[in-house]
Amino acid sequence: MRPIRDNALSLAFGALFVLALAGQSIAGWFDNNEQLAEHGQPAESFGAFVTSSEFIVDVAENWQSEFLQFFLFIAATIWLVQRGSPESKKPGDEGLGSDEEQLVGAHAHSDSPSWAKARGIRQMIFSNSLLLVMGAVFALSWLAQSLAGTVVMNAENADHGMPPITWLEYLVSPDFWNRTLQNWQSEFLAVGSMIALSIFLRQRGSSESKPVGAPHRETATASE
Amino acid sequence: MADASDEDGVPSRAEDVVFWSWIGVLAVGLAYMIILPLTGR
Repeated sequence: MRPIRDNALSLAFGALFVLALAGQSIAGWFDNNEQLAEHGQPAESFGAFVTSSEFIVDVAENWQSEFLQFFLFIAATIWLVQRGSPESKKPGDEGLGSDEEQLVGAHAHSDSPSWAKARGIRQMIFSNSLLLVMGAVFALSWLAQSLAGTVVMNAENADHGMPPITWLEYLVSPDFWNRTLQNWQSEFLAVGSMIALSIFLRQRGSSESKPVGAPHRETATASE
Repeated sequence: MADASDEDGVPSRAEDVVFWSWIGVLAVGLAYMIILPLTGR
């Protein structure tokens, strides 16, 4: 059971993701069929719903905002600090850090990843790989939201006898930006709250908190 | 508490499985959500 205990955090969140997505698909299917009934249209099968843009646009708009949240958080914490927050580096530590601090190139250890020992483009890619992947997932899920949103809007337009719109027209539509910004505002509020509240509040035992007895002004403890 | 000596070593096979499983979920999910709307469904 050691492998399960050692990987419990990602396994638990993987299970929660599957359960929540299954729940969303079932609730969304019922909701979609209620709306179809209100318009005098026949109900859709579950399979038809989960392979429709109605389902995808709702999933994608949440994916993009979550990955934007982490993308910005990772990027911002390179250059910005919050004194007293365990989510932040210490004031004065802003920036990319020296090769010695980052254990790259000549300063890499024998057990460092090979791309950290490498120089040039490989080291640059690996040094920014977390940001690159989170940013790519954000951009691609935002693209998915826009593509699925265009299909949904054109289906609604057809129901109301209106002409279809192009993808570029959808990108400047109120529907696209309403879906986008309603998710962004909550992500930014939550991240800001986590940074600010963790200055004075604690959770004993959590890696997201300072030790209970740590001074309020103490910032990062892990980088000591 | 975790044994610090374990954390200094090479990632185990279980960590490889965890990492690539998450990459797989992201890749399949993104491909699904991009390709399906392009079919007009």
